[in-house]
Amino acid sequence: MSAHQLAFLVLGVLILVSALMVVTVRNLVHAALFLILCFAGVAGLYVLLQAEFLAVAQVLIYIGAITVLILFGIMLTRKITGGAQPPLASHWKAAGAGAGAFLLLLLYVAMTGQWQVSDQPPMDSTTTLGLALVTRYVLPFELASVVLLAALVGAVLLARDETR
Amino acid sequence: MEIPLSWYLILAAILFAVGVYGALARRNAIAILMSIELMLNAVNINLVAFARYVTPRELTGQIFAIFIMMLAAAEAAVGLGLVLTVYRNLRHIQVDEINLLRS
Amino acid sequence: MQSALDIAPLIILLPFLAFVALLTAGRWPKPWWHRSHWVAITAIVLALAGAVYVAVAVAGAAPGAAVAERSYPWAPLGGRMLTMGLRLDGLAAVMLLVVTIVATGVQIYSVGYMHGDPRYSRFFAYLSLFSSAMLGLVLANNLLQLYIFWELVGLSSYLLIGFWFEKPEAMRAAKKAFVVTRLGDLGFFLGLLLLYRLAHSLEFEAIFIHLRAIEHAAPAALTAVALLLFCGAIGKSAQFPLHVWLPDAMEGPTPVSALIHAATMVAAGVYLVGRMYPLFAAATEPWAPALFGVTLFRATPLQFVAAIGAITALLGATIGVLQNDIKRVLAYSTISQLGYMMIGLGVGGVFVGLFHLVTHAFFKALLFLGSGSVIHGTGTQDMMQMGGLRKKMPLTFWTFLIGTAALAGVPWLFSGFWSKEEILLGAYHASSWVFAAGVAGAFLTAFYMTRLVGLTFYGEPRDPHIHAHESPLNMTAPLMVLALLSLGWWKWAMPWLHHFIDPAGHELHPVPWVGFLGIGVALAGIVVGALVYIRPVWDPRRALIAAPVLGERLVPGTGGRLGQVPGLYTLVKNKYYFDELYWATIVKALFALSRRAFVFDQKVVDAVVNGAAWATVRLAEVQKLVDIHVVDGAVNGVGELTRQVGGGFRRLQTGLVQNYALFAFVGLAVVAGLYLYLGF
Repeated sequence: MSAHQLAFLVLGVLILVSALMVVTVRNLVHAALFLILCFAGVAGLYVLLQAEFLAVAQVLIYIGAITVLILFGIMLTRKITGGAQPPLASHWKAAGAGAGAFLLLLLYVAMTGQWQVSDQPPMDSTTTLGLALVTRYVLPFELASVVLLAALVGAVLLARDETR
Repeated sequence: MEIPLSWYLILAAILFAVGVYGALARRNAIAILMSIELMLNAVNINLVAFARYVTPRELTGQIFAIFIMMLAAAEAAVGLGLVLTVYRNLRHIQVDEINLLRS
Repeated sequence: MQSALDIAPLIILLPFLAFVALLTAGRWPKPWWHRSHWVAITAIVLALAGAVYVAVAVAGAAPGAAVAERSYPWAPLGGRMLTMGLRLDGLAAVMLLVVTIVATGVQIYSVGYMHGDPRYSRFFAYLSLFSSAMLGLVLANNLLQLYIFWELVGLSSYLLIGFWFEKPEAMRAAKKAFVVTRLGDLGFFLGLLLLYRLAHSLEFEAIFIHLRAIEHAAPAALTAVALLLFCGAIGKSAQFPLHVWLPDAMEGPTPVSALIHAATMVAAGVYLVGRMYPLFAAATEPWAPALFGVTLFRATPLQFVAAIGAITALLGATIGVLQNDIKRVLAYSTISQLGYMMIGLGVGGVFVGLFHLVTHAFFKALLFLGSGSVIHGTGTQDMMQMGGLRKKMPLTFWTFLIGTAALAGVPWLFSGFWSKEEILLGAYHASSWVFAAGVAGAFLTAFYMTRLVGLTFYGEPRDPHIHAHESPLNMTAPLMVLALLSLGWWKWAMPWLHHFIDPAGHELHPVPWVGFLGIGVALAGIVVGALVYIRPVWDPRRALIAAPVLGERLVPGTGGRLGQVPGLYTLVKNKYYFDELYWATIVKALFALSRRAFVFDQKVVDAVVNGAAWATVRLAEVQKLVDIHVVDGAVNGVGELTRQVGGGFRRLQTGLVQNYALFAFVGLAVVAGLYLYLGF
């Protein structure tokens, strides 16, 4: 087993365990903290995949922005501890069955699929990525900014307390 | 290529299924949002892995992943806005007790 | 022509932009809101200018270059490319002018008519949407695009019929119009698919090039295509047997009736047949439906078109004689005149049908707007309460009279005369019974229009509570313009129009006595009508309430025996019981089926709630039952199935969002699993 494989396994276990904790723990703040751990693991995977820019973006956007946002949301909406209420809805068994069926399907595809793996060396991702974003993909890029603006306005409008 | 592509795919599949389970089973709306983020991450892993293994000379997969991150940010912002609105109106955000859709 | 092609998209786009802009009008400051009509009117006037530009360009183009097209790739489909495009030719240019002129007049008129309505700006928004869709329909260069805009005009028609949706009748009428025309559109769509299979393209030019080859390879299929396309025209142009929606559509505001249900949209069916005329002409294989081995009739598609037109012309004219609602008389008149257009297409060619479409668009819009002015002035639609309006509404009266003369076919001075003579001439050359129906219809038309004018404008006011007044200038001005367009100068435009619309067509051989017969029956209808309703030759008191009495007192001295011809009066008065017939057969059967379906729904529901394995078994049963139902009620299959599925799913609506998500995921897994299992 090479160092890469070992690193993958460690990261994989980290990701999956923390993801499972996210969906099961009672305390939402703990769930959010596990979510950070999970995201960090995914960032590690990106490094393994030689997508350094994405790894950094993952840390900045997911851990830096989204998780913090979620933590704010938790604090604004409820008492921090979970209280006496169960974390899972009554139909959690059905949900588990559905998710399990879905997992089997995905695993089947992942394991039986014949992927044409190329053996060419990867590109220097950060430079080319930056160039591609402002040349070939400039229109989607600009559209993305419009979407973000719309989301920003929408979020402000939704969260504004109109009684005040 | 020491790590087979299928490892990434399997990992992403399991992560996605965990996310699905969370989105379907958690009662708290914010927890559901977190589960959705898990699913999006699983998708991103797939995209980046394919980009690395199948089309290493192109960046389409990574570009896609970037746009997904962007959408995830937008989704989280709007989603939390919705959750706050619901909370203001109902004083709770337990989705299995919200059935306004059934009128 | 290239510059005209550059301008043409704007003609569609401008009214659409006006529609979008007016949708936001509710948020405008109040003073602007009351002037929201300026947006719509500016857009339609600019479209009118564009239409004039296009028409000039087409008219000025060199011979052989009078058709200009431009296509844009739209969607790849199995190795071929569907296109969107514009086609400019004489036919399109004439239709553009008609639509924009009438739409401009109607929008200016609506400023006065809709004044003070709580949804004032919304009305202009819908009108703009309609104008945009109608202009897009006219400019389409392929059948699919035409179909899309065809449905869009249907939608705006629905919105405008139901504009006063507080009235339950308006709601019902809107739904009826939409559903009934959809029946025809189903045929249209099937025809479109079949045609695509035959010609591998939906662009008019490409279809027409392949016609000969298709006719050679599959003559029956070509006939089927023509008949299916004609189904669409039957629905949209309110031809027998789908004419029932048009009279009810009169629940909409009167300007809408003038624009959509008299001048433009209902003429779209005629335009469709005219546009696809080469196809209709090429389909020479007769259709001969048989019942129990007995051939009912044999008719080529064009003969079929003429026959449906003749039936409709006569049907509409007879019912129109006994209606008391001023707008309904005009509605049945429209149905009848659309029948005439179909006759013209069937027997005389594109020009004959389309020429009547053009003249009819102007004088019928004039009549509707005039009736709107009357309704505006009196506050009622019942002619029995009107009377004596000649003095009180002089402008309306004189313009209305011009429209009446044009519709009745008063010779030489009025537009309708020239187009009707062409149709009768064509019918004379083609088929004796179509000709007979046309002549009879012409007499009835002259009669019921005289009756309408007599009851409305002559005599003494019959309801003392009504204080009629002339309408404002922005309502009467369009009337005068349209009256000008209903005069007989079309005679001089005719040869030119003929060349413009149908360059390849030939002149009909004139037959003098047919012309005299046409003049004779028109004048006879007017004289008889005048004797009954304007200068009654017997007890005037009875004549004034003549409509119900019509049958009884038509000929003095017969002591009312005529009306006691058993059943005839009642039959016509009740519009031949079409609505009742459709209710008793189709609609009721549908309801019965739905009720059965409802009982069956509840089984589905339980199944889904209990466990996955059990649900699978049940689902299989459901599938079986669905199959049985669909096969059983093949005729009503579509509606029934929709209702079943909808009803079944309704019970799944727990309102809990996670349940929905669960279903979505399970469904996704099932579909993806099937996909894998079937090995795609």
